[in-house]
Amino acid sequence: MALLQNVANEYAGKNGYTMVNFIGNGAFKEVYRISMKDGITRVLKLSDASKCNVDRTEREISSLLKCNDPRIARVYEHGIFDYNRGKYIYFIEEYLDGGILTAKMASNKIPIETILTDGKEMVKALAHLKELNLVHRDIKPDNIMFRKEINQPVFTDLGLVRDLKNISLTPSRVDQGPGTPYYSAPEQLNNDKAMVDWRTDQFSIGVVVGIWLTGQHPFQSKGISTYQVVERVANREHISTEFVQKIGKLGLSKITQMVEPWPIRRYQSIEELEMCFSGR
Amino acid sequence: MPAYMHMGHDTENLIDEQALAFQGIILSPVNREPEFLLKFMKKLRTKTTCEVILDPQLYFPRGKRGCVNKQPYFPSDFESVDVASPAWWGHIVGSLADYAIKLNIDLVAFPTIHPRIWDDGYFNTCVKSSNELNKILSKTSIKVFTTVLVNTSQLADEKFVLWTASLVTGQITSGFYLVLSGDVDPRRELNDSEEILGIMRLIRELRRTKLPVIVSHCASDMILFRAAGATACATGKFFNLRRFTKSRYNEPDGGGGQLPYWFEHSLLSFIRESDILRLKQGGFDNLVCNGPSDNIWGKAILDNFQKVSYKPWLGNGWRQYLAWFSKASEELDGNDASVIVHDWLKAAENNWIELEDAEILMEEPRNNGRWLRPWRQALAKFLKS
Repeated sequence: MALLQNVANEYAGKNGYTMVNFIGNGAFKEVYRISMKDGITRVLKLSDASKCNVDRTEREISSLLKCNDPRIARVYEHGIFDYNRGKYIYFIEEYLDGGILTAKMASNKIPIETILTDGKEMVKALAHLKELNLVHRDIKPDNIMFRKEINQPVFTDLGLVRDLKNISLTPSRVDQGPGTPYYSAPEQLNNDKAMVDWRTDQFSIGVVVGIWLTGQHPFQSKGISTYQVVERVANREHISTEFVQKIGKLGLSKITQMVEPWPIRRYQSIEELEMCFSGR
Repeated sequence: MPAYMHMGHDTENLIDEQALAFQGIILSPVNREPEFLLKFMKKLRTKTTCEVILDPQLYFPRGKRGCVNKQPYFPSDFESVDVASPAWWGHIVGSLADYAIKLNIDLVAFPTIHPRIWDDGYFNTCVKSSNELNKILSKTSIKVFTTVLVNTSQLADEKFVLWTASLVTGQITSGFYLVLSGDVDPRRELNDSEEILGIMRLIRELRRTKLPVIVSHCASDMILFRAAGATACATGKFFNLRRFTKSRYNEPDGGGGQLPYWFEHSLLSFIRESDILRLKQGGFDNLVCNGPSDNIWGKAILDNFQKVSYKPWLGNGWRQYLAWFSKASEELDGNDASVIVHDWLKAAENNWIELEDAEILMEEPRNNGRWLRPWRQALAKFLKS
């Protein structure tokens, strides 16, 4: 539901942009498609400063501004917009017209080689984040979109990004750190803040690609619920035998190393990680 | 040679011994004041290209720090400050970087402290501050190694090994400098197979990064660490069995530190002069001066025993051991170290059994080779895991 539609309309109108439509919303943000003065389509992301975590939103914007890689969504404008005595944080991001990974994963027609190529592209995006000392912390199919013309995956929604150069915004007292549990690494689920680094995102990419290739979460076994899968990850249990067998049959056993429960057991360099997507 | 020599009190003369063949040296801020170290380094650079490491040694317990508190990086509020403060670390890192440049060293180990508890905050501070030091020194040729100071008793828990390795490998570093803290008396061999296994596992985990791992303050246990994949080990003239504990860092009561010792490869043990004679007289001449123990100082010591003008051989004893260390390190380099070490341990244990059967007993009651069983157990478990 678009609760900030009026704000979005006002913002677009004042700046000479055209509101196209409401796309969707996250925890605190609403996303709209707008048309710029030159006709280019972009995305407007809006959040109510009184309701959202301003520090996190600012961190997201400043992180996105640091990024300069085609595999990470670009930000063009950002700031605070006053409307009707309220303050709204906005930023304008590029519009990605190739759809989201969630939709692609629903189709069984994607050849394995294409999945591997996309996996490799995700690793390149990860390399860029690593270089900048950023950890996305919410890599999941809903946050991976595609550039239509070249079918390139792009990481979006850096709302939970952690800049390792800055202090963590997550209180130590909470049991679980931010992230989408189903795709999160054990260190996120256990709020082991000191252990969160680029290998945390590697785990999430491993889960995403693993599911895409085999149709199951690497820690999923027959008869266990999604909640139990997350619990197994949090407890740092073994990767499921079914998953190991399925991925082994595809000749892609190397992928399992990405989802090892302890970061030290995952790939320790981007070069090594890239290799696991280089053919079977 | 994949071996380093810890500098100690009056050890500068040992650097000139070419036959010791160490890859490099580790400076000792505990034993030497800054002015001395600066002069020493200036002189050293004119005559040798050996690699020089600075271990700031802030982890030494109070009262045993010697000259450490005279070093420029030593903070005046060391005992009272909140060590979790990034600003406090920032000051240490800045002055250490300046000092490292002035000294003209090749590598600096991050100045870690001995924590009250080994928690994620501690390791995180070490890693983060190490990162800062890396950043400052990135414009120079000086490498920064992350110092991993660990409590060996905790390493018996495999989860602690994985937890530690995961924490310390998250940031950019040139390598790892491993310092073991435990409750084994100085100069006694490690004897808990689970602890040893934990140390070996930690080394293997750190090596997953493909970065070098140097284990500090080793003695004969160097062979286990090399079997686990350590790129190099370091030792010193008093066969540095100095493990670091907050509570205790004492020389053995009643002296003993200045007695001459021979390192015998066939027993993987330090033995005394009377033991050498006992072996020879007991028909075990073949167990004296074997493998890397057979070096120029070993020969000199044995020759000395034959001479009428017998001379004390303390200095040659250090050299005989140090030469064993570097030679044994070299033998383990480029080969399957674990296979070689397995054979060395097996042979040594068999030799001790033979001696036991023949009632050949060493002068020190605890010098009986019993530690070799846990060493072998640890290695066997390590190779299977």
